[in-house]
Amino acid sequence: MRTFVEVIRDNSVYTQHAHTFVRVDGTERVVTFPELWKWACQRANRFRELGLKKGDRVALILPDPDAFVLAFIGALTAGLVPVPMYPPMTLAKMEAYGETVRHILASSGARALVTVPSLEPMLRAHLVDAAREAGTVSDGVRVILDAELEGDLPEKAVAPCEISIDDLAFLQFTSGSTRMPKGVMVSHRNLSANAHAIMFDGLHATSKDRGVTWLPLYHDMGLIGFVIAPAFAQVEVKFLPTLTFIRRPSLWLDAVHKFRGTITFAPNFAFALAARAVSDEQSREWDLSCLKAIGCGAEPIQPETLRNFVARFSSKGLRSEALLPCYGLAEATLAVTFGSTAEVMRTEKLDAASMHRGEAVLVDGADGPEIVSCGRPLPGFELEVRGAEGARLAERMVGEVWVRGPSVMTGYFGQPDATAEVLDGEWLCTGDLGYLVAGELFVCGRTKDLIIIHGKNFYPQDVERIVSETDGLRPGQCVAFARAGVDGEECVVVAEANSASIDPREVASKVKLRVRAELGLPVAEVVLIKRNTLPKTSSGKVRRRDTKVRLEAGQLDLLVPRNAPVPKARSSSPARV
Amino acid sequence: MSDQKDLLGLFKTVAERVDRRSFETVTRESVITDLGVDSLSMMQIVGEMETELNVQIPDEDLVEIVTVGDLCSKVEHRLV
Repeated sequence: MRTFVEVIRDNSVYTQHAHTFVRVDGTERVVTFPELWKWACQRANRFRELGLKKGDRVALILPDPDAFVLAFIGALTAGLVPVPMYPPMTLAKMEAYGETVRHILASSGARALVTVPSLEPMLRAHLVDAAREAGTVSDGVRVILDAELEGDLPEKAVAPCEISIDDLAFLQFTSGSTRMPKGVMVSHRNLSANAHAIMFDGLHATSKDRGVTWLPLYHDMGLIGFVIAPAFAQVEVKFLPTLTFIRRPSLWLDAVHKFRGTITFAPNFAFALAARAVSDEQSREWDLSCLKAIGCGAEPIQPETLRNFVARFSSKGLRSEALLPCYGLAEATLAVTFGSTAEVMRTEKLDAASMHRGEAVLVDGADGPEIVSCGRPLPGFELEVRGAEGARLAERMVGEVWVRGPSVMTGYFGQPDATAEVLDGEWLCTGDLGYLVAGELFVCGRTKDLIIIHGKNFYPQDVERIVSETDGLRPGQCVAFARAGVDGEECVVVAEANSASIDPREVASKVKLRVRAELGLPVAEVVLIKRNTLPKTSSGKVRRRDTKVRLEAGQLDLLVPRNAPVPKARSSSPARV
Repeated sequence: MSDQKDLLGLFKTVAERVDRRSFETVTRESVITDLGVDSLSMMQIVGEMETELNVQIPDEDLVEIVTVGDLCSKVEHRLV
C-alpha cells in the first residue's frame, strides 16, 4: 500500500496530467503532476528550513486553492501534520471565529500557522490573546506567510523525509454538533484505504476521469475527495474557490461543461442553489452528459431537492443515474457507503406511525417521510444498526449506525475521553440514526437529536420541516429538540423570525397546531429568535444541542422575552435577587 | 452609475431577489447582520451585484464589510 506522498511522487513519472486551479481573482494556474511533486518537495524543504520537524502540526488558513494544495502536500512530504482550517467568511462573527481558531491551534498543539498577508493581522491578534489566555508564550505559534514558502521549482525533486503508512497524516477538525471541534487523526493508511475505495470501488474511476470541485479544502469532502483520492487514480481536477461558487453558482456546472468533468460532489444545499440561481442564459450552451458521478453527501439529503436539480438540468444532458447519494463522516476518513453509478437514486416512503416505534415500514401514501438510500458499504466496511442497549437490530429496525472498516480513525487528537465515547474496539459509533435493507443504508437523522416522548420517536427534521413552512419564519432556520419537562420529556422549537414585525403569539400557536396536526406531537414551547442568530456549524448546519444549551443559559437572541414556562412551585429554583 | 443612491437601490433589489422579502427601509447605515442576512445570502447578494455592475470585490475586502454603506463603498471603489 502506497502513501499519498508516494502516489504524488509516482504520478510525476507516469503521467503528464495536470490540475487546474482557479484563484479567487479569476486567474488560472495549471500544475502538471510532475510539477506537483517538484513543488511538494520544494515546499517540504522550505518547511524544514523554517525549523519544522517530522510530526509537527502546522495549521493552514489559505483561501486560494493552489496555495492550499501546495502547502498541504508540501507539509505531508516533509512529514509534518497539516491542520486545515477555514478562512474567515464575510460577516463571520469575528469573535466566534477567533475562538475557534484559538481552540484548534491549542488543541492541535500547532507549532506554525501558514496564511496570507490579508489575514495575518487579524490572526496575529487572536494568537496574542490565545497566548495570554494560556498564560504561556514560551513555545508560541509561529506565523508563516505563504510567500515565505515560495521558491524556485527544483531541477530534481527530493523529499526530505521518509513517511510510513502508519504515520499520522493530518488532523481533520470536525465540529459535529458540539461547539468546539475535535481533531480526527487521519493516518496515511486511512487515506490510502479510503482513497482506493472511493476511486475504484465507489466511482470506478480511471485516469481518463476528470474532477471538478468548489468544495472547501479545509473540509473532508473537498480535501480527501478531490485533493487526495483522485491522485490514486491519476485523475485531473479543476479547483474553484468556494466563495466564487456561492457568488456565481453557474460557475460550478459551467466548469463541468467546459472541463468535461466526469466527477463532482456537493452537499444538498448546493443542488438547491444551482437549480434556483442558474439562468437559462448561463446554461444555454451546457452539455452535462459527461458527468458520470455527481455525489451528494455531508448533510441530510432531501430527495425533492435532488429531483428538482435533475429536472432542471436533464435537458442539458444530465443523467439521473449520475446522481450519487453517499454516506460518510470524518471519523471514518471520508466515505463509508456509496450509491451505484449505474442506477437512479432510490428512496423509500415510510409509515410515520411505525417510524415512531423505530420501524421502517413501507407505505404507498404520500404523507410519510421519504428517506434516500445512501447505497452499500465500500469493500472492507461493515455496518451495524444497534438499539439503545447496544444489541444489533434486525433489518428495517431504526437504530444507531455503527461502522467498522479500514479507514476508521484511531481517535481524536489528544482527547482520549471523547475518543472512548465513539469507539468500541474497532467499531465506530456514527451518532447517526438509520436502518438497513439488503445491505443498503438509509439514514434518518442523528441519534442524540431524536425526540422521544412517551415512548414514541419523533425526528427533529420532521418537526423542522413543518416549522419551516410556517408563515413568518425562515425556512431551514429552526431546530426542534427535547428537554426535561414536568411530565417527562417535552418538545421545544427554536425558530428564526422572518422580521421583527410578526405576531409572535400567532406564529407560535400556528406552529403548535400544525406540528400536532401532522405528527401528533405536542410542542411545549416555541421560542422565536432574531434573524441570523441560530447557532450553526462552520458548514452551515444547525446545532440542536448547542441551541438547547444556549436557550437554557439565556444566551439566545430572543425576538420577544419568553413567557417563561416556570416549573410550578419548585422551591429549588434559584431565589430572585 | 457610481451615485450612492443607485447602489443602495441595487442592493435592495438584489437582496429582495435573494432573500425573498422586502428591504425597503434599508439605509447605508444599516448593519448587514442586523438585517438578518446570513453569510450565504450575503455572498449571493455580493455576487449578483458584481455581475450586474461587472466588477469584482476581493475576498479580503469582504471581511471588512459591516454596513450596507460599506458594501456600496467597496463597489464604488471598484467602479472608479
